[in-house]
Amino acid sequence: MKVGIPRGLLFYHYYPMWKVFLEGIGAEVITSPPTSKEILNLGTKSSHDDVCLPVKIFFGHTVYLAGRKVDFLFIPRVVAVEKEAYTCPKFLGLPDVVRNTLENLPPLIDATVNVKRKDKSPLKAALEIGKQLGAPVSRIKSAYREACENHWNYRNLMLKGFTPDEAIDILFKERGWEKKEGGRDIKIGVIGHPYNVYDRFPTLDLLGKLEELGVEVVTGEMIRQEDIEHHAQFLPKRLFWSYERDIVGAAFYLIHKRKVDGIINVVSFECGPDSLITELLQSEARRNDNFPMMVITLDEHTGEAGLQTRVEAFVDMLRRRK
Amino acid sequence: MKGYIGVDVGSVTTKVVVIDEEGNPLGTPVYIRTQGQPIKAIQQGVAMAREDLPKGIEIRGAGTTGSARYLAGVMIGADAIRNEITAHAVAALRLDPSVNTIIEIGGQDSKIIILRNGLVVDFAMNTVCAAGTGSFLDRQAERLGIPIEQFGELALKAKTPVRIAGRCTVFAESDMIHKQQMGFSVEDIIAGLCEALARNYLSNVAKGKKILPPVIFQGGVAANIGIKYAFQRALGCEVLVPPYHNVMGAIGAALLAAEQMRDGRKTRFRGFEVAEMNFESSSFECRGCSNRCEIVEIKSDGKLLARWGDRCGKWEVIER
Repeated sequence: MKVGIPRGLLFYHYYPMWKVFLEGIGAEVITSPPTSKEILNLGTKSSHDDVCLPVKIFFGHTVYLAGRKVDFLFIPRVVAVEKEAYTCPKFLGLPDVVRNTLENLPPLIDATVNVKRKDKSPLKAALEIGKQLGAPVSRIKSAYREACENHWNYRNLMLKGFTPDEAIDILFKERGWEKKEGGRDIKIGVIGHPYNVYDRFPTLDLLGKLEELGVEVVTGEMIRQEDIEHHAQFLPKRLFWSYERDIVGAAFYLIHKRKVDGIINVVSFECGPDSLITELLQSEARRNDNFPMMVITLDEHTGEAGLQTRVEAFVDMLRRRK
Repeated sequence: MKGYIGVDVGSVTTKVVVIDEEGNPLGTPVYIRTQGQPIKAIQQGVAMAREDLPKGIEIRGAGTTGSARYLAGVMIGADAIRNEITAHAVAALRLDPSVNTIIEIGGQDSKIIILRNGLVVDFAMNTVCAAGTGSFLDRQAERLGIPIEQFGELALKAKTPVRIAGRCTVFAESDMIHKQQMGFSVEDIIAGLCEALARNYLSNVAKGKKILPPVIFQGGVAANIGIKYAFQRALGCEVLVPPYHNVMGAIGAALLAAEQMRDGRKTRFRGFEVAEMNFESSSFECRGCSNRCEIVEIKSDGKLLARWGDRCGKWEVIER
């Protein structure tokens, strides 16, 4: 039985956990390749024009997988991952939006995860998925335990400074990764949704560009959750959305503790939550001695030349200040 | 005498300048239209810069900037290939080390650079929209049948500038046509346009930035005295337009090259013969994966100088 996991949105948060669980209950997991022009085109063609770029890309990956004869598409409904907040509204309705927008899809695995409700806990979702795929309960439970463990391994690798792609390679290809060489003179925090920061296509390989310019990069996933939580509390009021709260907490931590020389905030053009949190980050940067921060807004028309110029100028600015 | 050459290849104009070690132009700076053919413009610019150069100048370093900086860098053999923000900031700082704000408006883009104590602390560029840049002014001048050089002078003759929507060029143009058909004078319309552009720049590009004097206004559009006055009115402070305002990027590139050469290394500059060399560019679509990258090759007399445009790096060649 083949289950396809689109390489978009929450993929970067949870892929190792999902893969280990699905394989543990006997499925074969297939993912779409890294985002390319073809995948983006598949996505833009099939979505209406006011959804955000990450959703268009997700649609592209979904259509791609649907054409690869998978038996199921894995698109869970992640409603809440903590008691006090929700995820972005697009995650709440993702399976419905996919079903009502895209045609000729295989059946979806769309179990709901909502930790605010006892009957929608991650374990309950796992049991539901296992049942859908015909696995015995004992096997589901052991697969679930293994998956959770894998999730923490994944998170720990990122805390050590590996990107999701590198961490996934270490976990599943059993490839050792050399720690990146030192000697980089400036450090930049690249802060934003993982599906924007790590997807090399829409960002025109921002992380690669920074690497080439001799910059050490820190992302939100490389920061301990307790530091993120602690610094997010400097907001006068708790944010409604979990992942966005993590972005704010990560940026605040880097600013307050002066952990980096500057921050690049990556946002997508049509993103509602981003439009709010970018303002919060900018005003916090201003309040802290005008901490250097640059916002890069992505859409499908982002031009390479403009981005290159901005990134080079930002790096030059930080370097000449030293 | 030592000289440094700077080349700034923008979307609309190409600038070439040779400076001495202090940053003063030697000979007349070159300012020509790119006309969609950067290779030709670069060669022509280099040839013109040579013509006018005092005898006995030895080029010790070369720098390029502008949106075609990599192309120009490969062609002339640049020691420093740098972005426009840094180049403009370095050139303005050489002129006035106390500058706090640089307004730069070129053919297709506009920037604001905020400096404090001689260092860039913040900057912004227009992102997708070119409203208020040189190309739009060019188009409007042409539509009204006024030489672009007289645009600013005419604006100063206005008695009551009309109100024009500056946020979008499409709306600005229809607004202008409307005002013109209502019978407003050309001077008042042009002055209104200058104010709209200054307003648009301040609310979009300079959004949220603290603009402190001294303010330096550079780039091609700084030649337009109407816009300069509009900025002065909007900001309530003096706006300085430097004598070489339209070639500041090229001066900055040359200064950055000079900075790079301080350790006494040998320049990569190919010499002014670049003007006579044969450069060809060609392109193809790579079919290695679904990204279908468009690869550009630059050759000189059959020899590959550079190739770029691929995302994966398998075609990339840059002669260093």
